Amino acid sequence: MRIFLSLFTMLMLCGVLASAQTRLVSGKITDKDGAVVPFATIKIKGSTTGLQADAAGAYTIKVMDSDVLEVSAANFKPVVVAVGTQTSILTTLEKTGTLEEVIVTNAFGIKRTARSVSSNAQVVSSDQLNTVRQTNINNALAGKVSGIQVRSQSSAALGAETSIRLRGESNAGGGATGPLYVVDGTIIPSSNDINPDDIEDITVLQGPQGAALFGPDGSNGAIVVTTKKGKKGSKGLGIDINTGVQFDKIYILPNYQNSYAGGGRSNLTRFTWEPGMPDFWKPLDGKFYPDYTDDASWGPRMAGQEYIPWYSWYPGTEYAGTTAKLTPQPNNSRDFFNTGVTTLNNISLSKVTDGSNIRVSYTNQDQKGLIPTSYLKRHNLNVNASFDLSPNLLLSTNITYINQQSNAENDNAYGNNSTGNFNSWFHRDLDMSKLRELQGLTTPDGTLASWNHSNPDGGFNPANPNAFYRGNYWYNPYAYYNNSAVLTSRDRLFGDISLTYKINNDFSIRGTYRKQQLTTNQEVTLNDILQYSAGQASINNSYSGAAANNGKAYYGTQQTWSNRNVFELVASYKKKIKDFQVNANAGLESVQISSKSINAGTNGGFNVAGLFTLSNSKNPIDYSNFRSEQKRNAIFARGDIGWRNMLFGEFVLRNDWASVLPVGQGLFTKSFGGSFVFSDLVKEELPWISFGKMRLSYGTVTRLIAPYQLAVSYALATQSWNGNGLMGTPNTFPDKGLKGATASTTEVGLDLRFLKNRFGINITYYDSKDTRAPISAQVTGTTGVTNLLANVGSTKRRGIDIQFNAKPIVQQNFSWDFNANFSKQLENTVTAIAPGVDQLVFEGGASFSSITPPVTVNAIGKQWGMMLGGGARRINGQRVIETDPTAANYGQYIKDQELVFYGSVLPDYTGGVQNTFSIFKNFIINVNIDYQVGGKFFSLSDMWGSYSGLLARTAVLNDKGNPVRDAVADGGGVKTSGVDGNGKPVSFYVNAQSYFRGLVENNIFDDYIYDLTFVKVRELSFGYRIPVNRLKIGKFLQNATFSIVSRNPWLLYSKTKDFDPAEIGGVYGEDGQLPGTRSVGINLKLGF
Amino acid sequence: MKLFNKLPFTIALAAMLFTGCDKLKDFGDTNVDPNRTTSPNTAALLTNILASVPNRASQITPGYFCQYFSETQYPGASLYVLPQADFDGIYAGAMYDCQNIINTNSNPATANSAASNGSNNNQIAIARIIKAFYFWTITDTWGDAPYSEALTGGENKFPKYDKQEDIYKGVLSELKLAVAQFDGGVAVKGDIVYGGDIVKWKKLANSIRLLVSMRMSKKYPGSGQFAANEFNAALADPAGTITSNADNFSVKYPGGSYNSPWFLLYDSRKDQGQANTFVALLAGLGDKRQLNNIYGSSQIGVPYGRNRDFMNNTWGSVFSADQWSRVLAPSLRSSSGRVDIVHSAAILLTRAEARERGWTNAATEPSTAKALYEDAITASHTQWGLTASDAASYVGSSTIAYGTITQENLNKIALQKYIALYPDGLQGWCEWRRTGIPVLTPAQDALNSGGKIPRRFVYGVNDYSTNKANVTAAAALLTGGDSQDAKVWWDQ
Repeated sequence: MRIFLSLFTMLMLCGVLASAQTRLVSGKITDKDGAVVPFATIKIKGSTTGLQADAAGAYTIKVMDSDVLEVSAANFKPVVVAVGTQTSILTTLEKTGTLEEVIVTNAFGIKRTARSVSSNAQVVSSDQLNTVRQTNINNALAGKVSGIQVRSQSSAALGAETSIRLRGESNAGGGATGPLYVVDGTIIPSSNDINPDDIEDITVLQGPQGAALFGPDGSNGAIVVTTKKGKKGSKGLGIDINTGVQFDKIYILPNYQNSYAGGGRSNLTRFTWEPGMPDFWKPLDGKFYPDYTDDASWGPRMAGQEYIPWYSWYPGTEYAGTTAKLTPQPNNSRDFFNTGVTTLNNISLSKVTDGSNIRVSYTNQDQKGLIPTSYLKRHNLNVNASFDLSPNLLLSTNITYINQQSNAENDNAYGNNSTGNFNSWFHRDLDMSKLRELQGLTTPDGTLASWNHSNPDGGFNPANPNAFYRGNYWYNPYAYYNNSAVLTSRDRLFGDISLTYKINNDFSIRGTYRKQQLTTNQEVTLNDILQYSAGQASINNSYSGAAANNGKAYYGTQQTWSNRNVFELVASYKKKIKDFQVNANAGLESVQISSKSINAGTNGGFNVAGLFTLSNSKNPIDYSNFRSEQKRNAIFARGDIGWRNMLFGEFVLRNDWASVLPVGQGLFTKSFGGSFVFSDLVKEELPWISFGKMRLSYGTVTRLIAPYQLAVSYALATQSWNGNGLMGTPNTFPDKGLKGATASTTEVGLDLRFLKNRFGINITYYDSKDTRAPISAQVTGTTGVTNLLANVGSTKRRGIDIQFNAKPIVQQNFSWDFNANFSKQLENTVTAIAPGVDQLVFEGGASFSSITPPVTVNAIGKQWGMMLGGGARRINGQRVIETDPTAANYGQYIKDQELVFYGSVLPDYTGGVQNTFSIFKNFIINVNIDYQVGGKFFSLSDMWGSYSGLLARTAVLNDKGNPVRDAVADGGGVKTSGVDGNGKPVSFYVNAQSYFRGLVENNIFDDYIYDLTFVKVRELSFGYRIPVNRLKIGKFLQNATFSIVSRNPWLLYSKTKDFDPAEIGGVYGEDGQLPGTRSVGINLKLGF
Repeated sequence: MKLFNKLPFTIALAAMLFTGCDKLKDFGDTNVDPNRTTSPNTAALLTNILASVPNRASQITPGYFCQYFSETQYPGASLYVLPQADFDGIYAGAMYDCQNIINTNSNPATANSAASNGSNNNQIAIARIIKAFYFWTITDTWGDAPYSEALTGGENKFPKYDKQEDIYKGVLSELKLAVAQFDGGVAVKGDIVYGGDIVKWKKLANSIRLLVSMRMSKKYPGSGQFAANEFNAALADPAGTITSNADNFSVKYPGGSYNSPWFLLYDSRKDQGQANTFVALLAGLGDKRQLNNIYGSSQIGVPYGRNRDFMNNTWGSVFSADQWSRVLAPSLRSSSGRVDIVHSAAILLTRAEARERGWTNAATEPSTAKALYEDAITASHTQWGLTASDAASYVGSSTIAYGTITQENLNKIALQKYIALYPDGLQGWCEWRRTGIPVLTPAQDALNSGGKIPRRFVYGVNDYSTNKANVTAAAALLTGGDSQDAKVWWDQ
């Protein structure tokens, strides 16, 4: 290794010595509109050598006054420039064709022309990305890149992270592995911290051969973001304003039944007033009431009959002691949610002079959430600057600071207080406007009024009215959110500062320091009144500390700090020698990653009501703290060589050392590729082919392990037992010889464009293998440990990615641009887990004492992420029915002894279509559609919603035309059709409650496994480019665009109507997730 | 300017020359975990184990089966919905902690430093006793289970399932060896039950031997058979057995961060209570443990074995009144409550049974069966805060009083043991399976096919995925396969 470094040093010394003879000039190349022309070739006339401008169109060259420069670039007409006495040369090129050269960005900010790259690197421009302004780039990428699956989340979950998959999943151990996010060379752990308003373009690098240069972090591919810089040549003040507002409304909710009221009693009960009961109940004597206590909806038919609503029993309102009409409330859960309002404002200023370039951008995001009391506010400041300290020395810096404050209980878990309530356990007859009106109602003793209070026939005890008035399981949902909060504050700082030294025409060296830091503070509060007003299940709050407190009043706080420091040294060399263009880089990278956190919460409730502080804890507080640090070093070299801009070859070599690995283990990564632009050879013979390229690449990438995994380590329990410390043996042991591993991908591709680039297609086939990756492999706990961390996980992935673009109509007043992409995963198989282990459970949701909903497993030889769970026994595909009249489940489906594989959670196909229509030049309509086919998820909401009689399926008519809820003897009942134990067809009618409860109680989940298939219009935008020149305001306003936009306007097709399959909470499915939403908004963009 | 131009280059050059491969590889102690230690503290392991032992004696589901408890609003487990549960978490938890204490005290590299927490022998002996107790409760719940090849810390990834008979023999042998292993060395630290008193530990080990031996009474009913021999060996051990409540194996919780499982039972949900069948049984006997609101909070039992419709609509009219009986009196399920795991009442009743069965005689057991029976009832009454005279008047009633007919006496002993073991559902269920006393009527609205009270737990899903060949082989040995109706070896 020393030899390699020394060699490099010598090469650079040679460069310095050679520079003494001539004078240095700098140059910049732009097109007629002032936009940068990257990677142009500059040659001194008469010499055989030349050089290439960089991605920003800049170059420096050593010349004599008498020299003449020849400047050429693909798709531009070449020009000749005499140097004379100029010290800086601005060259303007004129386009020859319609094709714009796409620039691909890789690690360390290395930019290449798309033509020369040997793997499928897709670039999404700012305009394509921001058709509709999204607050998260992952959502904005959906459907626009092939090989991507965007797993969006409901916008009711403010600030929730959307995850994406690039070409499926590679981890045999299960955990979902997202790609790396890189902003101007700096790795950012959260896609939410990338501001779409500041993005110039995004390069998506899929898999090892594309992202090899990133080392271990890039093992799942990389989303490489280049931010906007100040642009040379632009006119005006350099001020841009982008302002918009969007309104979010609930779009998709489960299909409820609206015929039967709440409770477990199918008839109303007559109320008899007794002495000791409140006097204001007297008028209710002889009136009828439903079962309030049972939180299901197996109640009486809603037919407008007189009944006593839940709030009549509470004193202090005009409704006390009154009755109402029992009528359906089809929109009650929809009405709970607010209209979400998001305002998004950005202003950016840029200034470019000869020796400097600065852009400052500020974005303000303000969201009022769909869940009452929720909000999110965000400030994003970005400064991007570079200065030429001398012709050879460039200083540049890029700093982003983000501050975010939110109150958002993004709880998708079972029993959450919005959808977890409405879709699993609820009364369909509840009038949401009453719940909203009475959200502050309490009894004189301080109990929050609840629709789920006790029934008066349980006996009202005047000495303890709370026992009657408190909610058995649920609060008024408004009251819950009024009395709880999850306040989060985040401060993210990231950026870099670098110094580039240009030694001569060919050599430069750059040192960069990067930093990425996140500080968070979270406070969770649950007011005493919730504890006092809770019946049984009490406060469902999934925040860890609060959850462990069994529904007590709670205050918890968490502070985290994480930091990543990087030092890079990159030497770059580029040279044009006759027909060859050579580019090479080499360098070293040193990374330090650390994090610390401290976490504390009250235990057992409060001593003093309403005081949210740790010292108010009834029992000793729960607390924990955590520290983690890792260091890595790497050396790397890469190079590419092009011949006549037609034949290209490239390589990457990289070696990583990391503190997390066994001492001395280095991980070596390599990647090779080549591409051939054959269209240049067949221009004459096949004139209809405007561009044709074949490419082939192979690469490996490394997989690391987490810090501190090599030894068995023991943690102490937080609290001691009367002075005795407690310590448990960890359940995961490292296997002997645990180490990092490598993964590899081979990729071939073909890029074709026809008829002057009006049609283009890009096809890629890839084959990826992960071999003996370190995973936490389950072993039977009877060994004493439940997991062994071992090099045992292998997966195999193959697939096809296709991008297609066309300009089917190009008219003076109407044009249609069309981009489509499609990817099919041919396989994503788990090939090894651990010796003797054929499957591994890796994700599941809530489970209940005797009810175990399906889980997600990896099983050898099967697709990654199989849904596995209880299901009906089948004979030739027909469900088997219990035919023994004495059996409890007579007439119902029988559970199979074996668990059933329901299919993989991964979709078979994903893709999207973007259409841009330009009408009369100034009107632009964008319609962006995306889709996925296949893949499974489990719905716990639907399972409980059916069990509880909330969903439409529990109140339909059977094939006799009678309500299924009618008695079987009266022609009602759910019809079961299947076979008996001998395969003979049989059919029964089963009491509806018994049927829907029986499925759940017997762990038969067939009916609650759904397809993830959908087709949706995700983005719709109608824009008008205001003709500023015609309006004679062009002097101070450069451009202005007004647009009406909509996000998720239309779910065109989905197999389930209860959820938006594009927004499923977990990998396995959902437990009570927040609903799908649709937004409309307006946006105004002004450039001064 | 020239110097300025060269400066970064010079720095870069120096950095490159200075940074050799060795520097790149050397991370010092970066990968040493600052949050945790790599050397286990055996005293802290022992406290951790003892803090979790009461979980074995406060299980709800087996308590439904033997009708100590019933469910209120959402009955499921009490209607015999498939009792499938994983045991591997228990092995990986407290049982491997026991093994870890044994390993750390046996390994020459660590034994010396471990001895600062008590003599190596004493620590190992205590760990052996608890580990054996755990194996006993596991095999009684599921039947055959990994034993001889278990707890290797991942060395043997696929432990075979041993036959229950072999586990029983192993458990008895381990307990015997543990009693013999105690030495006069330093008392063990971290012992939150007996404070390192080895006399009490020996008594506990011998007492568990009595209980384990008696559980084989269906298989080995005779006096000269294996069970009786093991019983006598334990009884004859000079260290003795638990005869007074002062020697009970009980965990008293400190409250606050470590709460009694009976406190946690009602800390959020409130959908279990005393079964009406149990309440009626004890009320019929005039049993003050029930009538004085000790075993439960009232005399209104929760209907046993009824479905949700009945519980909601018919019985639901008393549901919200907080009148029905919770498990144990509120004072006994405080957060700092006590859980009795092995107590003198159960041991004395077991000895009474052995004497009545003729396993023991006047030479080996000087007390008569009647005396042991009455002592046991007194011990149970005082254990729950009643007096000896309460016990005396209870024994005075004709239904309780010891008689002369062996089978009747055995039934009376069995009934008293069933009552005395309350609220330890697992032990109550095991004794009911062994003796058939009391006669229990299965749940009226049982959800399982056949509607019978489960005889065992079904093997959990984890082993079916991680140790499939072995669990499948074990299931194949069961009559009717891995079902809740199959009987474990000693129950056949």
